[in-house]
Amino acid sequence: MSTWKTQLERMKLPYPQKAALQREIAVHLEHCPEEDAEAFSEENLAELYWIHNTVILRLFETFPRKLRLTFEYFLAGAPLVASLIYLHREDYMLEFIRQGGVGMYVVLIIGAGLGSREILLLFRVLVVKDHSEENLRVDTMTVLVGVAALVLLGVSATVLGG
Amino acid sequence: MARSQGTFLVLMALLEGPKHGYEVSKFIEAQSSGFFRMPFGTLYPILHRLEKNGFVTCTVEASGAEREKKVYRLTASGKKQAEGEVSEYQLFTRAVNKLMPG
Repeated sequence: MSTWKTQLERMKLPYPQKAALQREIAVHLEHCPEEDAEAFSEENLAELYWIHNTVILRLFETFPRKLRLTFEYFLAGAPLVASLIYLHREDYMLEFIRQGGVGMYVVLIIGAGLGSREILLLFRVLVVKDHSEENLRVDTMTVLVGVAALVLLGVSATVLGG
Repeated sequence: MARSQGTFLVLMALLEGPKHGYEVSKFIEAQSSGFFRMPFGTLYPILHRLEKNGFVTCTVEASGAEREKKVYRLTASGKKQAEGEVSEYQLFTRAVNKLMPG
């Protein structure tokens, strides 16, 4: 892979912008093949990063990683906390869960875990547009396995009366 | 090449009419008889910054299989900016010429 492609690939740019930039340079190089071996200077890469990244991501990068993670976990957890508060107020829902027994609690805990994980990922990918490899990895297996586990748990709990 | 100098050259190239990125690069090199070179690594950050600042707009043209060419053109404010920079540069070169030894 050419140096410039590797440089762009490593950059934490939102993917549509990164792909558009790569296509644009590829067309450029068809007409100026002598530049193929060129690389971006650090200054130029920094400028592309500044131009194409979201304000939120640039802002996040000024904070320590721990603070950023805390904020993200808070955002991912907020809908769950809101749901819990709502459930706590509704007696018939609490009764429904109580009747479900241990199995119901397990299902709820796993479901809540999966849900907050997906909210976190959606926030990172769609709002912040942090398209780093870690966030873009298509991790459908975890969701599928999680959903299958939920169904199995639900069925088992119903059958066993748990 | 200094960033502001690069921006000036790109604005000059686009003042001549809309161009693809590589045409901007070729134009600058040809018009300056090879004195200035604008490789893609320098050119695209400048073009994209000008676009973000509203001095340049970009339209996409289809070009062969799965290829898209982006054509850059100056906006009204870009044209004004470019013309302002030309006048400033002309004053600068006139002043420097006067200072040059006989």
